[in-house]
Amino acid sequence: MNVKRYIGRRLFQLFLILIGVTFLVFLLMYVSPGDPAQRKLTAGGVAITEEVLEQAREDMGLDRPLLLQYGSWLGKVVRGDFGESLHDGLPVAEKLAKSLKNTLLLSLVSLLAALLLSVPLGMYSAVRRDGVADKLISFLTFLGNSLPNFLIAVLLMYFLCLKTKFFPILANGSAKGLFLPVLTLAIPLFSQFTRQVRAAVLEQLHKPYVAGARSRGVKESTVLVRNVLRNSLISIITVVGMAGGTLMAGSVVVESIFLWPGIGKLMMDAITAKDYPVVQGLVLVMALLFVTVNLVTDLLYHKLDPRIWDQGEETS
Amino acid sequence: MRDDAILQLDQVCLSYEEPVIKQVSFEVKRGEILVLAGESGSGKTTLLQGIQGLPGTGIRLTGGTMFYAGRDLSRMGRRERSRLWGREITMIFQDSGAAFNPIRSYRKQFAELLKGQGNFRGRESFGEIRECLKSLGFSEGERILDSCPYEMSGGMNQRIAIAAALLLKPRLLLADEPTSALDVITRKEVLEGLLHMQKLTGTAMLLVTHDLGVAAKMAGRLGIVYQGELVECKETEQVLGEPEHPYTKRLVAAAAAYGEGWEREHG
Amino acid sequence: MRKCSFFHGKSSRRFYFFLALAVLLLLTAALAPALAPNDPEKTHVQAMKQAPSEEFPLGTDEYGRCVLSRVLAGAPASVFGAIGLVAVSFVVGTFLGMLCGYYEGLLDEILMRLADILLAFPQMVLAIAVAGLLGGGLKNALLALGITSWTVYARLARSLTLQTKKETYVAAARFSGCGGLNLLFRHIFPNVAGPLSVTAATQIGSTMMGIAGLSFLGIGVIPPQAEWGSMISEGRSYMQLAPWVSLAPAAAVVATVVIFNCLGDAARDLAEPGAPSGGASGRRFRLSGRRERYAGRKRVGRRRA
Repeated sequence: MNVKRYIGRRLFQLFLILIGVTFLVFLLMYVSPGDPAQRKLTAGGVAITEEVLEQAREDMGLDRPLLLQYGSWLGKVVRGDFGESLHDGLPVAEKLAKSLKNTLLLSLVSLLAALLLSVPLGMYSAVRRDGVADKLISFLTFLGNSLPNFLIAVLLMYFLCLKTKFFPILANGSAKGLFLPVLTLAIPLFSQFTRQVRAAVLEQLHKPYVAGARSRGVKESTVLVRNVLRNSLISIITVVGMAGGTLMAGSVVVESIFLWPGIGKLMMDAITAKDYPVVQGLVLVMALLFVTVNLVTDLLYHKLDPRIWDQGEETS
Repeated sequence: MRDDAILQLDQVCLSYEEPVIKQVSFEVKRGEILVLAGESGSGKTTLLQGIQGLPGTGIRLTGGTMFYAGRDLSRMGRRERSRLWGREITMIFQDSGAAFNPIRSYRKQFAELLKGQGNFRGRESFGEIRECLKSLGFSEGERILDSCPYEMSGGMNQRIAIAAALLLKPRLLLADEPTSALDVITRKEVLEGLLHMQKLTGTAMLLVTHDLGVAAKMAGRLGIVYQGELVECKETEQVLGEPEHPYTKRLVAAAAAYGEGWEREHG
Repeated sequence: MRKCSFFHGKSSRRFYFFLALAVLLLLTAALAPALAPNDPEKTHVQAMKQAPSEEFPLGTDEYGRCVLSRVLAGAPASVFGAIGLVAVSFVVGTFLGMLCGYYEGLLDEILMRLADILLAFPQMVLAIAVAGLLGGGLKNALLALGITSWTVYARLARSLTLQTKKETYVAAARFSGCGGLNLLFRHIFPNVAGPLSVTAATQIGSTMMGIAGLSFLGIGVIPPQAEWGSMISEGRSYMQLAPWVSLAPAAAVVATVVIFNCLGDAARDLAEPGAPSGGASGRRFRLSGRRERYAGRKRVGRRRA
C-alpha cells in the first residue's frame, strides 16, 4: 500500500473521530444540569433578572437547536476561534496554549525519565531472566502498575515532603518543584514500559536470528542492542504510544494535586465551574493530541518493520 | 589426539530433559566434508547445536568429550566458548532468512559480522563483501546489501549465508539442513556454493541432512544417525554401496525407490 | 500486562489462592456494617484526629469519625461498584460484539465506529469529563466509566465471533436448522466466553482504580458517604498530623487492586498455559483496540519464501 494514501485515509478517519468526540461532549453539556448563561453573568457580577438572563442566552446562542449550536462552534474553531471562557472572559485558545505548554513540559520529562530507566532495566531483566534483579524488578513494576496515580502522589508527598521536608509540596516552577509531579507520572509509565521491554526482549531472544548472529561471531552487545532491542522497539513503541492516554489522565490528577497550571488542572477547574467553552476546547485539543500520537505510532511501526507495508494494511 | 582432526567427539551424550544423543563418536578432519544423514527427530540438529554451544538451547553435555582443535570444549567457560563463534566455528541454518535479522539490511548485518572479528574497514570491506557475493554468482552485490532478508527468496538467503561464512573463513562450518527448504534447482546452487567455498578456504564442514542425494553430492565421508546414535560412518561410496546397518539399508533402498537420484548425481 | 511473577508455581493453585482472597474480600465488603466497630458517619468531637487506639483501631479523622469503620464502609462502593460495572459491561459488550460479529452489516459498522470514537480519547479523561459534567455520585461515576468499558468486550467478542462463525460445527448447526440468537448462545457463546472472562477478570483492578480516582478528584462518591478515594483526598490536608486517615484507605486500595490484578493474571495463565511469563502472554487478549490490531499484523509472512 502506498504511504501517502495510507496517511490520507488515516487523516480522514482522524477527522471523523474528532467530530465524533467533540459532538459527544457537546451533547453531554447540553443535557447536563446547570445554565452557562447564568454562570457567565454571575462571574461577570451582573445583576441577574429574568430578562438579562434571556438576553444572555440569546447572545450565547443557547436557545438554538443543538445541531446549530454545534455547527457554529465548529465553524468558529476551524477559523481558530475557540470562544471565551465563561469564568474570566479570556480567549479559550490563549488559555489552552498556555496550559498545554506546561503539560507538555511535564509529560515529556516524565516520558523521557521513564524511557531512560525502563529500557535498560527491562533488557537487563530479560537477559538475566529469573535472577534476583529480575525478580525485584518484576515485583516493583507489578506494584507500580497496581498503584493508582493519585495514591502515588499522596504517598510521595507524605514520604518525601512531610517526612524529609526535602521537596516543596506544590510545584512552584523550579526544577525541584517539577520533581514530584514528574515522579508521580513516571512511576506508572516506568512500570508499564519495563514490563513491555522485558516481555518483548524475551520474545526476541528466542528468535533464530539471535542464534544466527551469535554463531557468526557478532558481538553480544551488538546482538542485544542493534538487533534484539531494535526489533523489540515495535512493541515498545506500542506502549509508548498508549502512554499518551496514561499521561493525559495522569496530568489531570497530578496537576490538581500539585497545582501545576497545565491542561489537566484547567480541565478540572473548567468542569467544576461548568465553563463549557473551555471544556469543549480542551476535549478537542486532547483528542487531537491523542489521535496524532496514535497516527505517529502507526507510522513508526511501518518505519521499524518494513514487512508491514509489503503486507498491505489491515482491512478494518 | 591426532593432529589432522579439527573436531573430535568421543562417546558424546547430549540431553535436554531426556537424552537425545547417545554415545556418539566421530571426528572431522581438517578440510574434509563429513555429512551426517538421518530422519528428522534423530538428533542431528541437537548434535550441531551442542558443538556450536550457543546459550539458551537447553542442551547439556551429559557424557563423553568434545575436542575442537585439541581444546576440550566442555572445559571452556561461556566467554571462552563465545570466542570460537565466527572465525573458528560458524553455522548455516535451514532458514537463513530467519537466521539473519529479517528486517535489517544485509549491509548492516555484514558490517556487524566483520566488526565482530575486528576487521571491519568501512568502504574497503564492502568491496570485499561484494567480491564475495560475486564469487557465489550474485552480480548485483550492492542491491543485495541494501535488501533485507525478508525480501529475498529462501535460496538467495541461503547463498548469502554462505557468502557470510566465506567472509568469516571459519575452520569448521556446521550446516544444519541447508537445502531442505529449497526446490531442486536452488538446492543445487546452494550445494555448489558450499563446494566452492570449501575449495576456496579449505574449511572443514559438518553437514547434516535427511536427504541422501545431498549426502551423495557433498560427502567425503558419510555418517548415518538413527535414534540418537551414529550407526555407521565411513566413506560415502561404501555407505551407499554396501550399507551395513539395517536402518542404512532401509534408507538407501527407500531413496533408490523414490528416485532421489543420488546414484545419478553421484556418478 | 500486570503479572505476579513473584508468585510462581502451579497456575491453578495460584488462581484458587487469589480467588479465595477475593471471596474473602467480597465477604468483608458485604458484612462491612456488621464488622465495623463504630458508626462510620458518627462524629466524635472529643476525639478528632486521634491516633489508633483500642476504641478506634485505625484512629479518627478530622471530625472524629472512626477510620476503620469508614474504610470498611467504603469497601462496597469500590468492590461491588467495580465488579458490578465489569459485569454489566461484560454482558452488554459481549452481547453487542457477538451481534456485530454474527450479523456484520450496518449495526456492526455503526457500533464499531462508535467504539473507535470512544477509544480515540483517553478513557480516564473521558470518564473525568463525563462524571464532572453529570455531577458527582457513585451512579454517575460508574456511568462515566461504563461509557467506554463495554468497547473492550465488544471488540473482542466481535473478532472471536467472526472466527468461530467459520468453524465447521457452526455451519453444521446452521444447516440443521439452528439459527439466530439460539445459535449465537448455544454454539458461539461457549467459545468466546473463555477469553472474555479472562479479560473481565483483568479489568476489575483497573476499574477499581478508576472509581477511586474519580472520587479522589471529588467527582465520584460524594462525602460524607465513605469511599476510599475520597477519604484519601480528605486526609491529604492534614497528613502530617494524622497520616492514618489517608494511609488506611490507601492500604485498602492497594491490597484490593493487587488481589484482583493477581487474580486476573492467574486466570489468564490458567486459560493460556505454556505462555511465557512476563506479560507477552497478554497479547492475545488485547485490552485496547490498537494493540489488537497490531497483534493481528504481527503474522506477516515473507514475501517470497
